[in-house]
Amino acid sequence: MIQTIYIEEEILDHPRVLSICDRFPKATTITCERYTSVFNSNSQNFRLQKKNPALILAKKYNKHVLPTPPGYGIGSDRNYYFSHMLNCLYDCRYCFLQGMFRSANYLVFVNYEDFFDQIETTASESSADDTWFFSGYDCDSLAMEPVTGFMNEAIDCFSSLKNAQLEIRTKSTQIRSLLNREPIPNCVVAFSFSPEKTANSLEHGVPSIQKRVNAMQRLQEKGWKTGIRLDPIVYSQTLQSDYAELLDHIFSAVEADRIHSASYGMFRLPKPFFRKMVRLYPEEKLFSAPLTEHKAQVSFGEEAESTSLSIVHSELLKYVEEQVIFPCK
Amino acid sequence: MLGLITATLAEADPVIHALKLKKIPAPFSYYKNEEHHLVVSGIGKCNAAAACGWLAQKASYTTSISTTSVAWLNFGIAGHPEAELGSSFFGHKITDNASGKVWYPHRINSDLPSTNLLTVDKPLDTYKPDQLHDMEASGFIEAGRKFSDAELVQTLKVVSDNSTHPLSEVNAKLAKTLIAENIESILHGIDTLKLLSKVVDSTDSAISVEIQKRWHFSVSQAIQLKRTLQRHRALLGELQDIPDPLQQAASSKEFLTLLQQTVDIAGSKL
Ligand code: SF4
Repeated sequence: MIQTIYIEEEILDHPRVLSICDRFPKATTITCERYTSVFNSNSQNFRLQKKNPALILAKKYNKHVLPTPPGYGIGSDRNYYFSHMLNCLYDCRYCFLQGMFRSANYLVFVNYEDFFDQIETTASESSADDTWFFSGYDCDSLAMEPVTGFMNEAIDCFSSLKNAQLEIRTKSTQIRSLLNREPIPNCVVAFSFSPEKTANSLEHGVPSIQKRVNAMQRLQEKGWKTGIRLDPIVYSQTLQSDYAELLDHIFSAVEADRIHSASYGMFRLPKPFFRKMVRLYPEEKLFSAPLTEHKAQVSFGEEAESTSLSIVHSELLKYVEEQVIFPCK
Repeated sequence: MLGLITATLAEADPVIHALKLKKIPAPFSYYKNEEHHLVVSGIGKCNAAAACGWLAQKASYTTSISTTSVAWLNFGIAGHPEAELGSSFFGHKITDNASGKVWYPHRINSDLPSTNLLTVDKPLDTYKPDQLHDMEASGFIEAGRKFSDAELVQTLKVVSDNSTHPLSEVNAKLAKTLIAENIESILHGIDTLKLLSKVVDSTDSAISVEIQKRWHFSVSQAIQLKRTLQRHRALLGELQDIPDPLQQAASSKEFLTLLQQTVDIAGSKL
């Protein structure tokens, strides 16, 4: 699967670098001074790279933990995210990463301890117990877990941080490390879903809805808190029946009263990201839909948004209580 | 379209024959067929960069192809301290010895191995470890990336000298033989690049050319037309002919409005 691994010279002997490389004995390794000369270099084409992405192993020096953009969260005022990895194994056509990054290579920062130190420091800055830390903002949290083992170590970190909450957001079914350990109370494993039609046309390489539902069910049985993320909602004329069907599918296996939180948000992209994504995939139907530009954002427009959001909200209410539903703005 | 740059005619010759390229009078030694354009640049990174720039200009004036979708391959012979004579590699880390500048060409899906490649201004007395040594790649890659996406600009080198077979033994005959012996690898590299370049080909479709012949489009209108035709392709399939109501359009502005309406209606049904 991984044919090329770029490694920063400084971390060539780092134990995590060695163990990750061991997993790909046939991969060609290439050293670089700093990952930026590979990941950020000019005139790269995300779409071409996505055909054969390389793995980049690097060290992150600062900004391990950042505040989330406004509107991102599940009810708390103190929301942060961290990204031990940039880019994703999957290839969702609506994914903003395609617009944000020049490279489609998977970039993994191996100095996990620096992330955990910063998480601890950030958590200790408030006495409140609802400081949320979101993983899976710039990648899928679990898709590469068998390779990185990051989440397993992050859970160790959070298990001793009683005033910090962790959200592991994923579309993956790589839950073995979670099943092999006892759940911790301050962690929610949140699965993202789109209706079947959208998933089939836009979520390339992502495990099927059924497989994700099964994974969620197994985590619930093990005692993990689970959540549902319906973000991004892609407007369609059949939105109501699409989401009714999706939620029926999910809740036929997943226990609704054990759902920690359900959040939803519309498909929206910053204009420059959208333009870049159109250049990459000019033939994509989604980008040819009647989208509007407003305040530097591209979206389906106010009317379609408010209709869609209220439909999804009402559909969720059929299964879960109002107080666990959170719209993302 | 694929642009091939190589330093000498001896290196070019087996490829010219394999691809059945025809010589075209030009400032550079230039050979082509419909898809492949080969320039013998002369030795050195400045020559390689100049050949690349010249060919890109030529392509933009003499073909309908969008230059950004041109793929580029610099092939030829190179030295290496340990690698076996006649072995071939893509360059995956190209360093310009004089400036220290480094490029990392994305490894394209190919069965061929890849390695480090050092571009020197004149042959070194001793090889640097673990690197191919050539005299063109850095100039080529810097120039090629000005025209095309980085993934489409690649180098492929055949080892002609090493610690046991010194550079002084390399001559035109050996260069030609080594390239000929590696012709399958070179053609495979060419095919891989051509496939990749098709993904990003944004050359105007035949219908777009026809429309722009009938109505005059300003630069910004031409961009709008291109995007609207792309949306048409995404939602309704390729526009084959100019439909009746659009045939009557009195101006490019009216044409665009009508075409956009058709596409918007299709989009609203998603
Ligand atoms: S799973 Fe998430 S991060 Fe990965 S491609 Fe899809 S939207 Fe992007």
